[in-house]
Amino acid sequence: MKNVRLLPENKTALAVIIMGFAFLILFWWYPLIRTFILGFQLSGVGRLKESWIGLAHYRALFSSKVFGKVVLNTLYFAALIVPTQIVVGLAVSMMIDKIKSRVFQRLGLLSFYIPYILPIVAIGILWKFLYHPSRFGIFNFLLIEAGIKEPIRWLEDPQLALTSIGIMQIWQRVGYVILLYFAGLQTIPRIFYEAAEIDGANAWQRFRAITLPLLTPTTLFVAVTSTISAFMTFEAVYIMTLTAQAGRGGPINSTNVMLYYIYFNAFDNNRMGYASAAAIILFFMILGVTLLQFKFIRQKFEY
Amino acid sequence: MKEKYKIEMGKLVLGGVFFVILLCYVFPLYWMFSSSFKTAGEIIRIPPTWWPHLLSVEGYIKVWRPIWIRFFINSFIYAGGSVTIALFTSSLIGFVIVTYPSKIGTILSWAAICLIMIPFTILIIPLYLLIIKLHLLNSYLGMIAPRMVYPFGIFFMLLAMRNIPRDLIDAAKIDGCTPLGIYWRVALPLLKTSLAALATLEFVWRWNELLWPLIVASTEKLFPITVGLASLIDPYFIEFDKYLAACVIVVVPIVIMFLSLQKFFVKGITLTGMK
Repeated sequence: MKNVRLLPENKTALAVIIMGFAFLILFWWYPLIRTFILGFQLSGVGRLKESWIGLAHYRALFSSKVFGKVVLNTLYFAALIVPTQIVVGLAVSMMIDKIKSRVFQRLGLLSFYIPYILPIVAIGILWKFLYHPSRFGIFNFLLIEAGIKEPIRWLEDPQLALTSIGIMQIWQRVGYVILLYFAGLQTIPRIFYEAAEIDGANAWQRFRAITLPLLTPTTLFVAVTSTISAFMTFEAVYIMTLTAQAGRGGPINSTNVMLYYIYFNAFDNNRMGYASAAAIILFFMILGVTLLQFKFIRQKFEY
Repeated sequence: MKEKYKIEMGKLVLGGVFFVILLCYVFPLYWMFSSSFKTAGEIIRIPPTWWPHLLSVEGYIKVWRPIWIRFFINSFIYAGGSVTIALFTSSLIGFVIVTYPSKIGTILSWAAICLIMIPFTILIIPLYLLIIKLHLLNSYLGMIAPRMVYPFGIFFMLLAMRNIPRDLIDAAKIDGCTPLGIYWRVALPLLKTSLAALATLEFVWRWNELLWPLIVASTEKLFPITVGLASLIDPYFIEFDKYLAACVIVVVPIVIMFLSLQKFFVKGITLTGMK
């Protein structure tokens, strides 16, 4: 056996590493494993002991109509906001990149970025006002001026409510995407474009052959982080969908998304086990999409 | 000649389009600000007024309570406390793993890296039960504790530490500097800019967070600003003048902070984004 002399400096290092393990296990690994375990248990605050019930929560989840809707809502929400953010973010960042004056460039970036740093609680209240179904809601006022007959019931129409929240989220988050793409664009050497221009490539060809492939790492990062944050939407639903008659997540569960469903079951209904099972499904959704996106983008852009 | 004119026109149109997009984009924020200074009657007037015809601070007077100062202090404690501790622990752990390589250190780095894609929020149920068991419910420590270590921070610091020239640390080691001395005098000053960038970004995320403080803090005395603002909404009696004034109260300090620290923000975004 190798006898390692424990120097004082190694003692300090070991102490730091042990502290690291302690925190990481207590606040990350243990909760992660406990979530899995709770998914098989009947649990709630005030219960003396958890009892094992096997797959009952999962059976209940998969046969629940509401939960099916919740999953579809969450997927729809991500499918709506992630591609839009990527397309709009890339387009706007390329426009900003074209601006010659440094001052205006910075001003443009900052204006788009400001909503991202504001709390969704405040943004949600503001958009509830903008979306108001009456004509003092500025969107409806402008649309009626532009010629539509009936005011749009942005947050009250079950067909539209989740899309309305999506529009708000795109508005709030796209500045972040713009900034990431802008930073990515700065790393592309100008000489590539000049060479392509000499070869007679038009603007679209230059975009397809140079800009898009060289920005793949950024696109990948944006796609993964935006999808995860779309799956984790909570604040917007919590703030914007509250009504006196039906609580939140409505109308008729049209804005009920995974994290809100988990929150509602765990903390309003004290069904910790059931909510944990839903959290595990959310966990696998995040894992699946992350892996899928890595694979998809790698295949598509392999040269 | 004609060709050049065409290009110039194209640029002008593109510039104009961009300017219009920008105006539409910031319009909601203008609308929040200007509407907050309207009277309750003017706010729901049809057609809407483009700016307050009768400048009024009615909304602000209705919404202001001394406890708002407490909300701000609480947000500061929650965001400041968790970011300071998290960045201190992550940088220390990253420093030790890179400077004193060992098997156990490698295991720790993997134990952290495996977690970077997992959102904290997905763990709230067992964390809540844990906080109850530790008797930390409804306390600052209960809000901050799970934030004390931060897997992405460890990962980030590992990368940053690898970029520090080895020689500097070896020289300090030979001079007989203790590990904590090297961390404090050599590593931290070199990591300063990337730490500051990450800290600003993290601070804003914690400041804007709703869910975790909402669960842990149950008395108004502990509410951070986001929970305070959310608790204001009364579905039975909606008063937009009051709400919008509250939004402005919440938003203005963040915007001021952002504008004074924007250098770090942009750096933080590009640093965390380009991993």
